[in-house]
Formats: sequence, C-alpha cells, structure tokens
Amino acid sequence: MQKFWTRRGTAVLGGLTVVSLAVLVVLGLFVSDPDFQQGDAVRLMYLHVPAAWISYLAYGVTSLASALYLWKRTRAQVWDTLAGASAEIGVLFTGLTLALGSLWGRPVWNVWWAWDARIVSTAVLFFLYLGYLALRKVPAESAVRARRCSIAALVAFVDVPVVHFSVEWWRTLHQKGTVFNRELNPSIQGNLAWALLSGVVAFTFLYLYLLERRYRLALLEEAVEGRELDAAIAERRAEAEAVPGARGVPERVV
Amino acid sequence: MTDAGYVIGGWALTGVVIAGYVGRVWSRTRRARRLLGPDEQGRRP
Amino acid sequence: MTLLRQALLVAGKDLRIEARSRVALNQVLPFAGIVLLLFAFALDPDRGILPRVAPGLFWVAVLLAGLLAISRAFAVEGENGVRDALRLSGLDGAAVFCGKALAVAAQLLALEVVLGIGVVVLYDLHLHNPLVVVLASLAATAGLAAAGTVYGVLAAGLRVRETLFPLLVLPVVAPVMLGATRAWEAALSGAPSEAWPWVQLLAVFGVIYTTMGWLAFGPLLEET
Repeated sequence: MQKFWTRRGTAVLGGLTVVSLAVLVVLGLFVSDPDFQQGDAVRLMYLHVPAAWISYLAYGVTSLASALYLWKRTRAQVWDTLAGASAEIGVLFTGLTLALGSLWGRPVWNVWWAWDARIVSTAVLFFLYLGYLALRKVPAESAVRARRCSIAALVAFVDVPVVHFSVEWWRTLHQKGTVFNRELNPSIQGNLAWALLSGVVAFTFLYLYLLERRYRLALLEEAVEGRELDAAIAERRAEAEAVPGARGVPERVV
Repeated sequence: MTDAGYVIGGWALTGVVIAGYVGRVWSRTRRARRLLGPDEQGRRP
Repeated sequence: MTLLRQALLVAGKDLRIEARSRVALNQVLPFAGIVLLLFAFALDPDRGILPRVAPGLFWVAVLLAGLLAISRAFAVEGENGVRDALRLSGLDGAAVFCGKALAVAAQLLALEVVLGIGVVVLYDLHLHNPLVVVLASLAATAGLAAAGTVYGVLAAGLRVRETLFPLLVLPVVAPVMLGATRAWEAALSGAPSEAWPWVQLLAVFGVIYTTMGWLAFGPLLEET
C-alpha cells in the first residue's frame, strides 16, 4: 500500500482545505457577530475548539493504526508510519489548543491559565504524546521500532481516560464556586454556530491534508534511509574486495 | 490589550504555526526526493 | 515452573542484586532525603505551608526517587548480556514483568517507609488514619511499579534512556500522583471516607498497567 492518495486526490484535498480555511476566516473574523458575553474573544473559539477536535482525531488514528500494526492479521509497516505521522500532527494541534485557550482565557477570565479539568487533561495529553514522538526518533530497525512505538502508543492511549477521570474528580471536588464554571462554551447560537462549524470542517480537511503530506514524507525518508544503508553496505563490499585475500563479506541483512 | 489584540494574535499564531509546519514538511519532502533521485516512485506535484 | 515461581525467581534476583550493590540504599534513598530538604528550602518552613502540602511533597519525592530506582532496575540488565540471558531462559514474559515490578514495588515501599518517617519528622505531619494511608500507598505503589516497569523495558538499552524514560513515565503516572495525594490528604485531615474513591482510582490504574505489562513485556523484551 505505497500510495496513500492519488496525485489528483491530493490536489483536491489541498484545494478543499484552502477553500474551507478561507470560509472560516471570513465567517470567523468578519461575518459572525461577537458573542454577547465574551465579545470578540469568542472568535478564538473558532480555532481553539477545532484544534482540540483535530488532536483527539489524530491521537485516535495513531492508536487505531498502532493496534492494527500489533494485530498479526493486519500487520504492515504502513500502519506504524501512519501512526507516527498522525501523532506529530496531534501534538502540533494540542499545543495550539493550549496556546489558543490561554489567549482566550486572558480577556475572558483575566488569567493565562486555569486549573480546570479539561485544560489540565489537555496539558497531560500534550506531554504524553510528546514523549511518544521522542520515542519515535530513536533509531532502530524498522520492525523493532514499529513494535516498540505501537506498544507505547497503546499504553499511552489507555492512560487517557484514567487521566481524564482523575483530573475531573479532582477539579469538581475543589470547585467551590469559582469563576471558572464548567460550562466553558454555553450554547453557541446563530452565525457564531456557523463559524464554529466551518472551523471544524476546515480543520478536518487540514488534518487529512497534513496527514497525507506527512505520511508521504515519512515514506520518502524511510526510502532514503534504506538507500543510504545499501550504499554503506556496497562500500564495505568494495573495500573488502579491493583487499587481496580478504575474507568473504557477510550477506546483506534485511 | 483590547480583545481584538488577543483575537488577532491567536489567529496570526495559528496561521504561522500551520504555515510553518506545512513549509517544514514540504522542504523535507523536497530534500528527500532530491536524495532519492528521479527514479524513485512517489513523485508529487 | 509456574508463573508465580518464575516471577518470584526474577524478583529475588533483582533484590539480591540490590542487596549486594546497595545502590538504592546508598544513592536513591539519600537522593529522596535531599529532595525533602530542598522542598523545605523552597517553601520556607516558618510559614506553616509544609504540613499542608506534605502529602504532595512526599509523593513527588517518591516519584522522583522511583524514577531512579526503576532506571537502575533496567540498567543492571544492560550488562553482561543479561537481556539475552533473560530471553533465552525460557521464562515467560509476563512472569519476568511481574518479577521485575515486584522488586521495584518492594524498593518503592521501603523508600516510602523511610520517606514517610522523614515527612512526619521534618514537616511536622500528624499521621491520622494510618490504615487508609497505608492502603492508599500500597495501591499507588502497585501502579507506579507496574507503569514504571513497562516504560522501563521500553526505554531500556536505548542511548537516550536517561532523558527519555522520565519524559515517558511522568505524564502517565499523573493519575497516581493525584489519587495518592488526595487520599493522603483525606486521611490526614480526618475525613478518611473521602479517600476511598481515590484508592479505587489507584487500584484501577494498577490493574490497567499490570495488564499492559503482562501483555507487552514479552514482546518488548525481544528487541535487540
């Protein structure tokens, strides 16, 4: 399964992404009205909520792909490559979620950070997958690395609900009528809802586009590594043959 | 800073981050293609 | 050999290594002690904060020292082809996991006893409801040992393991930190019934990570 997408498919996806992002900009920044409680700051929600959604989607894909890799019947290198690509995008968008949330929180709550359940869970999630990415960078034979990373991805995934519940219990026990009430996003209505929807749609296309690009890059880089390995082995062979009476060279290890 | 400042800052940040990531993936892709040479499959526009 | 006996064999080996080298005793324990002192420097003992935050400080100290102890548990495998020996020994992966996790848990518990005394003495903590405190600590330790052992084997043998291992483990054990600290606080402030949900959370975490370790340890050990 070398080709994830056809050339035409990528172009169409790219086009859809650009168009939907343009629609988002228009709706989010210009057409939609300011919220009657949050004012213009609500416009950050049109990015923050989609970014959060994309990161959950991305991690879900990583986990699913990792599981598919580990299950013997569906094992294929492509799943591990996909898992890695999706996780990188996920971390990018989790970081963005946190940053945008902070920028939203400053005008609306007057603080850069709050120890609210969802915010804290998101922060833990960020570090969880940052660690996964660090693990991916450790060089190893691809089957070894794939298995190690797939297991790590599932072990991390299993932690997510536990983190979520524990943090939520923690924060609801300590609520004590703070300003940060649990309804972060009271029902959004009218053209604000359309702006939010356009954000979710645009970011979904963006995710798919980035995933395809990143996945393709990963395949190319794996091929480059393979080439370099072949070249190194060929060099060794040439050296050995050039020396008279040299012992036989070992066969290439696949 | 007014609300507008935060909004613009946030949207600008998002734009920069996404563009930056796309750029990075794109330049690494080009580099990988160059290293592989024209015979390798997977050529993309 | 039954799984239990295999596990005990591995645990015994690890603990014997520790008994002979005494690294946990001579290095990890003092490290934890210094951490307790440093907290006092950072938080000014005269302001009455220390007893209030003592449970949190205790568990942070346990966690940091635990990272060292677990790293050490896998460092000893790196020498003399021990990993290959383990692979070839025919021991079941799950049993090796249980054995290593048991050894880690034993060391953590010993650490906790000493640190507990340290916290009572240094931070002027009054130990109410000791049964709840002990139960919560047992549950938390099981979770820490299980999760730590899983990530320990994952990172073992990698050149970057010293920096990678903490990065991998710490986010994962966040629920343990939460549960253990809240349970201690509930017990120490005279409301032990409030500790039970947290103890349950700790138990669930422990079960989940023991299961993960059981399943994943064998495959992870097989890498070169």
